Amino acid sequence: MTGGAGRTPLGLGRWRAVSALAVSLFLSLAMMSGAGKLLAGSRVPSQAERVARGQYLFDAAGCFGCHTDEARGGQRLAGGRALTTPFGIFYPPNITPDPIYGIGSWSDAAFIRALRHGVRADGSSLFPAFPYTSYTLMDDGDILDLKAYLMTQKPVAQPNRPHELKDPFGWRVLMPAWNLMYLDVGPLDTNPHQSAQWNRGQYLVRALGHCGECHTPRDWAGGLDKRRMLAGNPGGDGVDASPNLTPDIETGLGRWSEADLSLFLEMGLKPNGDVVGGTMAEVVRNTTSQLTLADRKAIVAYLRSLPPLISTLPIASRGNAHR
Amino acid sequence: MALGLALALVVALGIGLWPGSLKADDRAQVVAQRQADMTRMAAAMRVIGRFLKNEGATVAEVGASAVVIRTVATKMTTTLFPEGTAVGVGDSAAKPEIWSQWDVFSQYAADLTAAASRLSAVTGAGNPGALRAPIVVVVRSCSACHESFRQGKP
Ligand code: HEC
Ligand code: HEC
Ligand code: HEC
Repeated sequence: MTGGAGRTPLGLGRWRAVSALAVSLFLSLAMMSGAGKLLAGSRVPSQAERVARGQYLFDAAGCFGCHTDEARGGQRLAGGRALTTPFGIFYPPNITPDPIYGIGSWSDAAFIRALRHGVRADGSSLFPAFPYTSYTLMDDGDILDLKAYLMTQKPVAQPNRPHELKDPFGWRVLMPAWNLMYLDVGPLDTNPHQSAQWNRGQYLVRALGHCGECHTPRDWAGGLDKRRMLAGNPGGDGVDASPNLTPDIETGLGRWSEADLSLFLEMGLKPNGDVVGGTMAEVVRNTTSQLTLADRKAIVAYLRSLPPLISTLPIASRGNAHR
Repeated sequence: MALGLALALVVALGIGLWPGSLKADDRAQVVAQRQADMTRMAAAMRVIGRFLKNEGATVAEVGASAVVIRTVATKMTTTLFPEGTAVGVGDSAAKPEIWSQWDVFSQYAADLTAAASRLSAVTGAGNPGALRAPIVVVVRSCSACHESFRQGKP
């Protein structure tokens, strides 16, 4: 580790204390100088602003693709296409604001709990086919803005389709134990040793973009192998291999320039002229192409800073489409 | 013009030569041919990528690349994808859905043809600033078809 991605409890504990001090100092100064009112004003965004932020987060987090059965003309967010995994087939549920079939009756706290802890409104556990293992790293504020946006979508009264899972992977009661082993509850801490751009990139890759859900290898129980973060994953999305995103020269993105990566995230064009396909085409279409240029650059900065790891994927699957 | 005619002739011959049942050798041959053609398009896209990244490619080179792409795109629904050449033939990555959803596949090929023609036309005006938008349309056309019909690596 480069001291970047991991959470170093000691250092961060101190940093938190320092930043809390700084914030309270700043606040009292602001009050004294009469800027308190202005500050308070800018702290409560209007509902419209929250919905707009939520829409951006919705794209950055790629909620649409899984929860909409686009290929078969399904209604927006009313339930997704089959997700094939080694554990069986998952059918992502209806997340429209319909109060009965969707999540319209969920409280803010319930919605936060779903993303942060993988727990449903009724208290039962969610399966990590819903990538709460990444969304757990989001801030409360972002989660609530996202909810504000979802609540503006059209409610659809469409019942959920039950998953078709193999035992014991279909047993929700086992999930708390799984979470103990694999879930690092967020939100993501800021790394004070890195730039604001790097921290933004980390948040976009690890929390919102959930890139590791496909690009990081998993163990037998479906947990991510954290020591090999983003090192490539055979059958990463349930179908295709997801290549190594670390900057290893031979088996990763080491030969891609920053401009190469940025262009790929914008439109899916690789440095050798090949054009992205598979589920990554959807990620580019729905997510990375929708981001601001600054956010794409932040992703690039973060990916470049990762420790290079050697991919164990077969040569043909490695991607590494350099010049 | 002469080139167009020659092309049409080759295409017509091609269709004539494929009345449904291809021999194994021929099928492998077709796969190799279309992969080579796809790679030609990728080489053209690489030049276009260099243009976008300000790595020295000129407007004229982008124009020439657009013509290469259009030429291959027009062959996609005629000679490049005869039935019976899906995954399993050679190292093909062509999904069998191409033939069960031929309309959709053809539409993607037509979209790419149109996008490449448009790009070629815009390069004619010589204004580098005007190229980005039509280039994005070309790349999206490649990507849309790959998303549905090109198998990824296992
Ligand atoms: C990789 C596919 C995938 C993505 C991306 C995804 N989800 Fe889901 N989601 C699922 C699946 C599968 C389930 C069902 C899990 C289960 O049954 O335990 C689910 C469940 C949920 C639930 C629980 C609903 C219920 O009725 O129990 C909510 C809420 C939810 N997702 C919201 C979101 C939001 C918001 C996003 C974007 C931030 C998102 N999802 C992105 C696949 C996905
Ligand atoms: C749903 C699974 C999935 C998610 C999520 C995902 N990827 Fe991918 N990614 C893939 C697959 C599959 C490929 C190979 C597709 C191809 O090359 O046509 C790929 C390819 C890539 C490549 C090209 C690498 C190469 O060597 O050719 C890059 C770069 C990339 N992804 C970055 C990202 C980033 C950054 C994120 C998060 C914002 C992300 N991916 C999220 C599945 C995914
Ligand atoms: C109408 C559908 C379609 C369009 C449009 C399309 N492709 Fe493809 N492409 C395919 C299919 C299908 C394959 C797999 C062919 C095979 O292996 O038999 C493929 C394969 C490829 C390959 C791999 C060739 C090899 O050697 O295995 C490259 C490179 C490629 N395409 C580039 C492009 C580029 C660049 C564009 C746009 C300029 C493009 N393609 C547009 C369908 C399409």
